[in-house]
Amino acid sequence: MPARLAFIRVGVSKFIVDTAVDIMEAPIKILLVEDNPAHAFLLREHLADQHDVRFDLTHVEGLEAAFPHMEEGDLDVILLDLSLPGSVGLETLQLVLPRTPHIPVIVMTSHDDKRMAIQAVQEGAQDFLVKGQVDGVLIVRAIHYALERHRLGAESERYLAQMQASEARFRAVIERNADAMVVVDTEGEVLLTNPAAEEAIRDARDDLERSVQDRTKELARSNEALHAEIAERKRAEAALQKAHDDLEKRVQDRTVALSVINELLQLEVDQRKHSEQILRESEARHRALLDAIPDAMITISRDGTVLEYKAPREGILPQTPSQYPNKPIAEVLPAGFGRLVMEHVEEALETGQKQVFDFQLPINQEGHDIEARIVVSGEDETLCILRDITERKNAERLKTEFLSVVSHELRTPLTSISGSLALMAAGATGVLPAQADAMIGIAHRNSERLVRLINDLLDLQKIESGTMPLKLEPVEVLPLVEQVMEANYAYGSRYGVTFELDEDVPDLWVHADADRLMQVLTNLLSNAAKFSPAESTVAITVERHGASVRVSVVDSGPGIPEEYQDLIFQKFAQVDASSSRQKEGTGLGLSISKAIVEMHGGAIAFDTVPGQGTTFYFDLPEWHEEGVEV
Amino acid sequence: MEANSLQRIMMIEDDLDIQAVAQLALETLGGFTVELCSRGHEALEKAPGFGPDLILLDVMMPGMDGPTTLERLRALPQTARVPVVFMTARVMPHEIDHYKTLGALDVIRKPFDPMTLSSTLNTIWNQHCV
Repeated sequence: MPARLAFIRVGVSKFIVDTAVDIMEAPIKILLVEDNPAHAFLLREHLADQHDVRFDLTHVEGLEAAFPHMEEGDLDVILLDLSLPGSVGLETLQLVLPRTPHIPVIVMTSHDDKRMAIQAVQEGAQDFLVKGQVDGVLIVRAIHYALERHRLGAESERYLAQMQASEARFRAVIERNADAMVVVDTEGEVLLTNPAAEEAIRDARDDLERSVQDRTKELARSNEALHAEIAERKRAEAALQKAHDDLEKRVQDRTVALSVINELLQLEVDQRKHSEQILRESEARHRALLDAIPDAMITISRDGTVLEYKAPREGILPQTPSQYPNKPIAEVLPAGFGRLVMEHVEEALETGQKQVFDFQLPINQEGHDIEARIVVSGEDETLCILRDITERKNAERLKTEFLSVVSHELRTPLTSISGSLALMAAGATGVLPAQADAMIGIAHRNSERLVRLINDLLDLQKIESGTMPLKLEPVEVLPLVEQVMEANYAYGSRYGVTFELDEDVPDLWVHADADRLMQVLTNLLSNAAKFSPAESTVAITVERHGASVRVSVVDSGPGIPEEYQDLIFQKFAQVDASSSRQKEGTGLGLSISKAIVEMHGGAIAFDTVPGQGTTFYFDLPEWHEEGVEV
Repeated sequence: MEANSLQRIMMIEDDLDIQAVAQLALETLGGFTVELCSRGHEALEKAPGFGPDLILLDVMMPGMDGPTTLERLRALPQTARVPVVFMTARVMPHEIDHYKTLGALDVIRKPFDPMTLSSTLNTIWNQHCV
């Protein structure tokens, strides 16, 4: 059970001392310690002059002599000179004071030691006197004051001792009390506690300490939690800041991007405006161009409806443009022509290929040649371009007629010339003199050359105008090659060249115009003969080459120099002019051969080694009896 | 000589030089009997009397041209079935086709080779008339 705690409040102790000097009738016993006899004498005289007070003065000149008096203790006051033999200054006082704790000491100093005198008072002297500045009254008063202060001091000590004793008792009472007691002053400061109180306080302190510890721990935890919360908050704030920064950056980036996009958009708008302007100008140009084109243009849908039209001002067509739109093409164009156009519209839409055909249209009692071109111009939509090609057709007809006539007019005299020369050269008209025979031979060869040139020119014209028809039929290659070899036997002999066919020729067929194929082969054989050395052989091979039939003619001539290889299939191409003359060529044969082979869907080419020979070959798609080309 | 061999040839050609070359080639080298005519009308007159096995006919001639002459020859009983070969310098493909459409057996191009003319005619004869 905790001790009861009581607080005792005490007031400030006050001791009232009667300060009146108790003038004792008994003499004041003075011990004068002075080594200067004159000063001792003068002091004694001053004291003698004071009749109100009686003094019992003992004078000694040094400390050694003074100590016995001090130890006897029968003294009221000591007058001590600080400058003594063997001891000077404060040391003198320090030697005296321990021996005279109950006797007041007044120090005497010279005029110069006033400061020391003050220090002496601070050390424990009751007062000080300056030699030469004192008189009897001053000395008596100093002695009285010293005695009184000393008495008061002694009395204070006595009261203090009493109080200490009283306090000890009080403390003992309190300490022995079972109740907890605490003495405090008026300021609330604890002056005393008894063990019970201390225990109670200790318990309370312990409780308090535990409470403080608990509270400290709790505070620490709270603090920790708070720190954690603060840290978390800081992290959250940092994250928030980062998110904010990121957002700011994204906003900035987005702003920049939007700015760029905006500029790009503006640029695009400008470009579009520019493009639109260009488009308008282009459209105007195109419209002007279309207006200037003398063709009729009709947009026709899959079902034959006219969607758009553009007719030339001076039309070749019988109806005015305003009647075209949304009518069937068959009603717009003359019946036969409209039907033909629709057939080609359907073909164009089906195949995606451009369709071109000619049609002769009677207009104003005159026949007009109309060329129709039909192209796919959109989904289920075609553009039909009609052009009046009457003049061109007429020109072509005139050209063809001209060529025919020229051909006839040239061939007719050539027939007589070459025929006569052939007969004479063959000896049909009798034996000629040697020189005449040689000259006739020259004339005959050149007349033949002229005939070939005319034939080649006509062929070329036909090829270039696309009017060379091909009579395509299955042709067995081997008999055709043999026939050409036989026909050119004489020609080869002229150059001392023989033609040899490869022995193992497979049974191969092509779909070709036999006459034209022979023309190609004749050209290759005659070229080979012309360019081969005398007594050499030109080899002919026929073989299957993939899905094609390849016919090769191999000579052992000089080969084709590299610089001529790209020109060899061009018109009038020969290795050189002198060779051309020497070899009697027209320079058109290979060009015509190439065209003929390509018209058959084949290809012609050569391999050559300068100085060793050349192989010309052409490939044609192989034809099979069942009609399937591989 | 075989009964159906080619022996008598009538040549209708306005160019006398060509006539001379052909005659030499056919008579001297080929051994044929040749009747020469310079005009279509002349041929129509001579043909029934001559009785040709084969007629060699030019296309372009003054007065009556070759196709017309052919048509007229076909109208004569004596020459209605006599084979005709055109000999011409007008040998564009469509022209050759046209001649054959008219009933010509074949077409010999000018200039022809007099050295092979007879053999060429024999070949045609053998292909179509034997």
